[in-house]
Amino acid sequence: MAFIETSYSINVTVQDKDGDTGTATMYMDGNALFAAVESVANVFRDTVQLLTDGVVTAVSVTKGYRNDQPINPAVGSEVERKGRFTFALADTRRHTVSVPALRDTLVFPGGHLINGNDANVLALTALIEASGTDAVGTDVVKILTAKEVISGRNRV
Amino acid sequence: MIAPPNAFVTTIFWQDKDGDTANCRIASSYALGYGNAEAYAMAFVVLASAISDAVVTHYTITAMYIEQYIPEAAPTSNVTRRMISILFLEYDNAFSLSVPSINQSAMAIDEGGMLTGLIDEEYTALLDYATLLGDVGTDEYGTPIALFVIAGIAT
Repeated sequence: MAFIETSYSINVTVQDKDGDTGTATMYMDGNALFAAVESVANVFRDTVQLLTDGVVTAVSVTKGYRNDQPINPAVGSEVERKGRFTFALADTRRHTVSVPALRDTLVFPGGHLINGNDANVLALTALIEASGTDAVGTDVVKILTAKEVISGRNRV
Repeated sequence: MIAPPNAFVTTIFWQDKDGDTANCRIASSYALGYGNAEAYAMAFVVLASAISDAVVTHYTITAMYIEQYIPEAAPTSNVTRRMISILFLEYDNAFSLSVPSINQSAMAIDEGGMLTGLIDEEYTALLDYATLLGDVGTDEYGTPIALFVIAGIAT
């Protein structure tokens, strides 16, 4: 598994008098430093604001990484079978991380609970506990539950 | 005033044997920096792949900055009215970018003082926009932009 950096995209969201939104986008080389891209994003935002009579409501900077050595998915893989890991956050709220196509062997027979003593499961949950936050930056504290869930499909 | 984000959000995209896709999201502290987010994302992809039968096709790391004070948009604003720019790359490949709700101040006026519906190519902000894209802009694959052309206004 090897991932290559593709590019950064800088998206400036513009809202008009009716509340409708549009986006101005530019791309930058994926080898650029994030701090440099962040500076360009500020300039791009200001420039777009001068070009539009709508108002800028948000700016996002996204970097893409593409799997350069993809392998065939396993024969039994189904993305709607997910491993759902629920964590406690530092402010007592909950945070879930769902891993698609959970391996059958990790689920206890006749149920939906994931084997929390599996070495890979332990390593994954320890990583999230050590480094994870929710989308607003609240720290993940500890794993609460790990179970298999079935969800809808997204077909391309 | 634009607020810095609290977290980097990483979205990981998976594909199974049928070509069906799904994604999952993780996040890490913005205060710990982009390098930390990058390391966390890579470690997550490796470990999550060890418990999944699907394949990670790609992932993205995003920082979102939200305006804290949003003034009223001009009565003339309409995001479907866009300025279209054509960007030529090396080897004559090209793509387009747009700016929504192009400002009427950026439009050329005729001798009678009426808006022509065309872009004023000397408009300062347009020159800044073209300069910025020419200096550091690429296409989505990282190929540098070689030539900037204003195509006009689309509605």
